[in-house]
Amino acid sequence: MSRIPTERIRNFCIVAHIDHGKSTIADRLLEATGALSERDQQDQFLDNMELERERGITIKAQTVRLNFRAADGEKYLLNLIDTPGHVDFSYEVSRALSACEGALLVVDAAQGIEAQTLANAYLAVDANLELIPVVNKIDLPSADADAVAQEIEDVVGLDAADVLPVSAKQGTGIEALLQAVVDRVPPPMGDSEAPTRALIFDSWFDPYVGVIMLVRVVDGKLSRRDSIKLMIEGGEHAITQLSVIDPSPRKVEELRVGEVGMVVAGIKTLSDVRIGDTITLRDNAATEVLEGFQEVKSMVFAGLYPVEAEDYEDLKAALEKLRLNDASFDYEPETSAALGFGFRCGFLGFLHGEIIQERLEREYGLNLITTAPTVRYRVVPKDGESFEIESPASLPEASDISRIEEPVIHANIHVPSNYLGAVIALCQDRRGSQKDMQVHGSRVQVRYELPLGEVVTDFHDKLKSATRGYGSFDYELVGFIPADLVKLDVLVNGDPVDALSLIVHKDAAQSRGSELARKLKEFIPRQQFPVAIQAAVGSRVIARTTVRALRKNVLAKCYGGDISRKRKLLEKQKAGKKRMKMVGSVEIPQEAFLAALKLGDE
Amino acid sequence: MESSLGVYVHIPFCARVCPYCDFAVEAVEAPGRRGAASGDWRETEDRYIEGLLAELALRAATFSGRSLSSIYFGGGTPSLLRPESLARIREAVMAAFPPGPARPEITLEVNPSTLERERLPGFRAEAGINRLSVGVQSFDDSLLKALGRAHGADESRRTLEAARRAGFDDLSVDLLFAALHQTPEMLEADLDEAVAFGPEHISSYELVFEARTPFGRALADGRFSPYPEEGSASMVERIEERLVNAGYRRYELTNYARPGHEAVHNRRYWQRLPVLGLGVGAHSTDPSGPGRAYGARHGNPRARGAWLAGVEAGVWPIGEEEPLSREDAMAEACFLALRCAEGLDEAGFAEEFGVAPREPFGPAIDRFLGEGLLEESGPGRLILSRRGRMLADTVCAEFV
Ligand SMILES: Nc1nc2c(ncn2[C@@H]2O[C@H](COP(=O)(O)OP(=O)(O)OP(=O)(O)O)[C@@H](O)[C@H]2O)c(=O)[nH]1
Ligand code: SF4
Ligand SMILES: [Mg+2]
Repeated sequence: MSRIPTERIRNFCIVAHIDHGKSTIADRLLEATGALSERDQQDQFLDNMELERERGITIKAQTVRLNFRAADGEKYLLNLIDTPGHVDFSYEVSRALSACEGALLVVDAAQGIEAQTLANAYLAVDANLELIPVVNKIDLPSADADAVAQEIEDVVGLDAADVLPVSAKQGTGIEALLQAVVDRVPPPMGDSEAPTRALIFDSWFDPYVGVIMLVRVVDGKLSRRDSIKLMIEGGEHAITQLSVIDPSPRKVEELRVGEVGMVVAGIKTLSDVRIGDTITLRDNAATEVLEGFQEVKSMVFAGLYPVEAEDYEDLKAALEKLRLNDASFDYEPETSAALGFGFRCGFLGFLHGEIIQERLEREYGLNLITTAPTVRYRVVPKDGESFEIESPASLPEASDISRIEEPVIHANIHVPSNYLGAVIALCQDRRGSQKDMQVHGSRVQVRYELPLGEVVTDFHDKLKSATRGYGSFDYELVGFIPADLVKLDVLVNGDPVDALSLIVHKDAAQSRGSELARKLKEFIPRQQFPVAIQAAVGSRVIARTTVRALRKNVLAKCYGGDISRKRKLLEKQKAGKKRMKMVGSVEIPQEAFLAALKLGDE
Repeated sequence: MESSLGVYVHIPFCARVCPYCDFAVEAVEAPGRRGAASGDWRETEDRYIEGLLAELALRAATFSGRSLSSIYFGGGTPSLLRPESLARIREAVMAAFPPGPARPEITLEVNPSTLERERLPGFRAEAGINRLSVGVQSFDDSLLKALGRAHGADESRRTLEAARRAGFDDLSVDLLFAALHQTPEMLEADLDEAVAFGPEHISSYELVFEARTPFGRALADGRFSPYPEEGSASMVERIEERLVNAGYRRYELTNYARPGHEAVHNRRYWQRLPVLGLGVGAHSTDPSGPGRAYGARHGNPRARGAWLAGVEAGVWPIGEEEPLSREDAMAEACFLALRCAEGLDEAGFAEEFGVAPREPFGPAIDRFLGEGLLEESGPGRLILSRRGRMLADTVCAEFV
């Protein structure tokens, strides 16, 4: 293959609010450049994780290389990165941006600008990227491409005349998009003669070759026989394989300045590689490290426990592996009286937590129980220094506490003005206070200060349903504020279920407590004896209910064909029991713990 | 070595299909009140009998050398068949599997109706039926009507009396409980009447809402609610108390008998003995054989057309097939034994499987003994306690 000079390389990513059509545009770009044959075609080709396909969203950014013959008759090498739109995964966007000189900012022609549109646009501007505004889904009857283009000019500050109209669904505007990438995105700037520096912007573990690093060569080049050095972690390794993705991995001899590709260097230990580290050559090493990534800080915490105690080691190994793939969550060992040995994990958001749990269950075949998500609280004790807790279990006795502070966010909510009332009601219900409101045509942008703890569970779902899917939000942490918080405990037959403890606002304790007791009652199967469920703040019981004793279970007839059926039913019953945890002598199923997560749903 | 055989013959026809019924049945234009069969029905009946004979011929080899211990004509409503039809089947079965010294038990399920009453002498003399299982269900007309049954209580009474008159000295009565609007008083009246009549055997079933029946669907969309557990639990207790006092033994969770009148055929299922099932939807328990150390279970197709097409073409139409693993067999040995009054004989189990039940199931056994759900009725014999019988599924689930 002939070499394409650096001047004809374009590295760009696609950013947008969730569901505005990034992955579908990527499909069209792959098709238009012949990277995909008809046969390989499937919708959102780059969303190859089972979970992504199932949920119809992108979770991990994906890189692919395209060859494009531009209007000048020359062949260009385009490196495309499709990114996720959900706020929980914006770290994926930040990393993708570091490998690019340009970004397609995609806006849905019917929805207009939403919270993540802006958040991602700002990230791209901060990273000095050339932004190409794109209005997608112009085929929709409700599309108003001109109005959205104007909105882009008003809100983001990009010229409405530069906006490219596209329908990824029908494939219109795709050629023009590719040409715009060539025309408007600058080529990579690096110095091919300087000592090699390549930024690791993603990495994952492959069972066959070990750690794979996805890199962007910033200066110099990497060759297949080079020995490399990780500038921050400090390890030295021999490259065994270099490849590019177009769209399947293809081995190459070298990665030149400006190129994006995968590096395998026989690294087996996951912790030896850090995303954001700089690769240089062992001989002729660079001296200056490239700017890495801001450490992502977990916002939401939950305990993850294996259902079977003996799976603890497997869970540990799985977390280690997953962590390589997703540096955005952390974990440390934790013990619960009810659930045994597990891990306290920190996530970027609720969806992120849900997805990590699902990946652990699916990709590593684990069976997990997750405790109610919580945030980080700051505790100021009567004596001594203040400290932060990430689990209700670590909250000291009320009598030892002078005050508790909770994390507060600024939420940026975009919504069509007719849903404003519903949004305000929701925010007020979540103890929010309004900070600002701006009207852009028929859309409103409101800013609320909200306790993070009120947002991490189901705020997003609630917002979506209150606005029929038209509302969107993103947020930033602003600090800690004292609040009247108490620890709510749950007891079954007098034994505390530590895994179900919650930190809640005093005014909400009563209703949460009753709701929790009611939910548990619904999910704790009847046992041979009555089970008393209580919710308590300190020693004060604020709600109680009882699961009546099981008097009888079906005594159906059992002849001929009934026997196999009966055996299978019993097996199912037993399997269900296996997923239960014993608290004292009470069996509590996983769903009961999950129900606690969904608290406040009705 | 046990080398007996039970033969189950399924007759998939009913005068009408009850809305809670999950058996393989279809409604047929059966003979009218006067006993005159329409030509169509006659043809259907004869063709079905031919099919059964063909299936028997096809499958007898698997069970060859076994002596017949029982035949069970079930359904459906096998009493819709003419005595001579049943006789043909019985003769063919006896020819294929000559009985041992003990007289085989030959049961016929009958539904109360004029037609069947008239045929009772024929069933006995001609067809060789020596045990009847009568689908009484209840002696309460309002309940029978709500259940969609084709008969009333008087019809049942007359049928039972006629059965006695015809010389049947081995009668079983089916009774339903926890059914729809049934009250404890209604149950009590049913028990009174059943006990007063004094059949040798009583099967007592709770009304179950099977998913693929009209009742099941009614339950699913909330038109019915399940019988309150407290009520049905009290009924189970009451039935046991009442029948035991009247001299019946609860020899299996849903079956009561006067000593010596336990159902020979049905017991085979709980003792995991071979049963050859013939006809639409019939299930078989195959004995162990090469490569199938623990036997297998087979189910014939539930559609008459599919079954007929096979047997008429000279191939046995297998609907379902399930070879039993050692684990399956151990599980069944335990939970089926526990359903019976004899309970689980630990030595017998150890002999069959080479491990004592306490090896795989030790912790569960200890726990249930401790909680009083299991008891030892003698050395090495585990039975469900009174409370254990109420929570049989809780106990049994630990043995699978
Ligand atoms: N009508 C129409 N629908 C489109 C178009 N482009 C995408 N869609 C649909 O919009 C939905 C979301 O598309 P995706 O490509 O998965 O969106 P995304 O931006 O990648 O979403 P995330 O990665 O989850 O943020 C899908 O149902 C697409 O079929 C378009 O041009 N017209
Ligand atoms: S009579 Fe018996 S077999 Fe026939 S439909 Fe009714 S319940 Fe089913
Ligand atoms: Mg996507």
